[in-house]
Amino acid sequence: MTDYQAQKRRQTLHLRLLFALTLLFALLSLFLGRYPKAGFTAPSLFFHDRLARTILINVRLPRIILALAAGAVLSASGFTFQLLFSNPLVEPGFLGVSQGAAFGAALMIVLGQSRVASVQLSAMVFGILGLIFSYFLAQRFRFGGSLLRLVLAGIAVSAFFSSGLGVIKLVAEPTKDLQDITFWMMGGLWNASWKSIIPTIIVTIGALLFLYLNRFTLNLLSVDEKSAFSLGLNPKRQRIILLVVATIGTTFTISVTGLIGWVGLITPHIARKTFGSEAKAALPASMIMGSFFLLLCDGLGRTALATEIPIGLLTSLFGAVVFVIILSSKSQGGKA
Amino acid sequence: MKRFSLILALVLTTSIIFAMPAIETPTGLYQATDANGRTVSLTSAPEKILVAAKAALMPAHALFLFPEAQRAEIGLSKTDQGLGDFFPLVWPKITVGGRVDQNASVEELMTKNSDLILLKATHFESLGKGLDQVSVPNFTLSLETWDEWKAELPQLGKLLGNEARANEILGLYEDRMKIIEERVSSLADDQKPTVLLLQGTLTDNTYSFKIAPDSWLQTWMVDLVGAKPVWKGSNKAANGWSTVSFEQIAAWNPEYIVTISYNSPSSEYRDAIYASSLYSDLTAVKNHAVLASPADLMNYIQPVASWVLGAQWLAKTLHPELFSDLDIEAQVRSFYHDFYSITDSAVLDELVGYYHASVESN
Repeated sequence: MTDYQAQKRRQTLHLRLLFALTLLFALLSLFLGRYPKAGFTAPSLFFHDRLARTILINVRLPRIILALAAGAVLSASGFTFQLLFSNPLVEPGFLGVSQGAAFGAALMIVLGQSRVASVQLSAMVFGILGLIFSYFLAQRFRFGGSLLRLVLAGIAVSAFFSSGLGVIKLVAEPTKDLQDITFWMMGGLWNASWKSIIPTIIVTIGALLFLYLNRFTLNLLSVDEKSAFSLGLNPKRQRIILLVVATIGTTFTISVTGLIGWVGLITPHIARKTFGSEAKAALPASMIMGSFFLLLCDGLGRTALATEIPIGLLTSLFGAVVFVIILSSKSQGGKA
Repeated sequence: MKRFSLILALVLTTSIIFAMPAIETPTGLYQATDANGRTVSLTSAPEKILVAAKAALMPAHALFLFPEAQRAEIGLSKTDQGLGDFFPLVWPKITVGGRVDQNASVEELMTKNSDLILLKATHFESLGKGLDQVSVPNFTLSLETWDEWKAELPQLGKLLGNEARANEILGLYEDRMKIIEERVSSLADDQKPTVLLLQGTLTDNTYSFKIAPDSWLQTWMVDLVGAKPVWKGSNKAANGWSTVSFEQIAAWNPEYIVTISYNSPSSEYRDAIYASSLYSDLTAVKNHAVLASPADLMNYIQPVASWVLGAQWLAKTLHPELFSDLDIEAQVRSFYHDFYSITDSAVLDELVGYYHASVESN
């Protein structure tokens, strides 16, 4: 057996272990919560307490599934963005997507519920618009290469939506709208129910599958455009398709969960560091790690205090700590 | 060099102007200390009063307790929380179109040439300081708790030149509170029902619920009426409503749930709880003890002047045997008569009608 084969076998084994560990943790999370007391719920309670069973099936289970799906898709999207832009500091919020989604959600909250369009739909539409604006703005820029132009366009579009969001917050009703906007911007999975998660699960699984099946294309696109073209790809077209899929996955998720930062930045980093930079192993690893990370943060957010801790606060806190550790470590360049 | 000297002179002049202390208002007859600990002096009774910025409802509510408000020229920012506007009933001269923008800047407020600007204490940093800089008398009120009402109302009375009315109002509050306190004082701990006040929010067709911080009037009210606020201790640090999960509500499983909404009928959230299969096993749902909070043009379970009606309603609802003689509709009528000097029976009927509609389906 060659070194390469041995390495691949090790990676496969590690991936399976990681997957099993995440599933185990998801199972354990079913027994963590605030009912009947904060902490671990004895499994026997579910047999003789109807309320406990309701909580297990209709509250904890959909929420855990949403955390797994959202973590996976945010992380996979981050991985995709980082690979396509050859920039490890890129995440799904890049190119005005997050700020666009935040603007769209806040706009709908302020306009009220009488409108046909919902907060989720508006967040998604404006998130995608953020990407479209960035793309077309980059075409008009007369400075730098295509990637740099797109980066600069993303910064401009994000700033545009940020300022719009600021105006909305200024006019928002403090007793209601402002609180809703603030909480939405900090993220939370407390609204997860079977009814609300099903469309999200369908879209995220679709996006995850697409990205997973295209992980070889991702590898090819991570090299320069000429090489990718010589290998039979249409780099521009493929790049746009992958970006759109990653953006749809992200916006659809954050339209339900609110803004959750750092998942798409940190977990792809750790995945590449552990499994190497090739998408074949690093992409699924990134998905699993994203699920685990969000599950962990949500578990804390719903169990630690009587009131919900916004999940975005926890992902930012842990994300920043991990980020510092990664950047401070000696081998921060990752495996080739 | 010439240009540099010019810029330097400009920067220095600007710095000196901004570094100058605000011009002291001469000490006059009307002097009081506001919620931010500042002493505000007026040389004469204010004839033009502006209640500015967001959350103007509370200072406006306090102001109209004084007959001086009826005589002054009043400007208000938005005071309609969503259930309707109370102030045109009290002061018909106020029109909706004449309201000051909630986000008006210091400069914009200056154009109103007011003798006095009332602000919620939270706007001291953003507006109060700026108004001080330009020597516009402004007075902040917090009014978030009963202790703050007791401390701030006499100060507002001093500034309006009618401290006696402030004390009269506090006396009226105490009379109503005394009845509650005396009757619930005999209750043993196990006779006090567990209660959960939940502010409902509806975002994108999803209902969620929030609890008030420990230090707020809402939490104190439940204690006052001889009940146990189950959420007490869970929201100590927060300075606003915090979302709670269904799981936590189930863990508390209170005997009573009271839904609150400040911008829509609270019954909407009560009905949402009854309609949800998730909530069906809760004690309050089984006992049909999920209640919409009372309101007229403002919800009573909040720190506006009518909070005492909320306390009276809560006391009667939780302890009907102790308050069988307490007619809340009559209390609503006498409240607006005694506190706001409303004598027009049509207006009183209208307010009682709103109250009745808010709780009739409980």
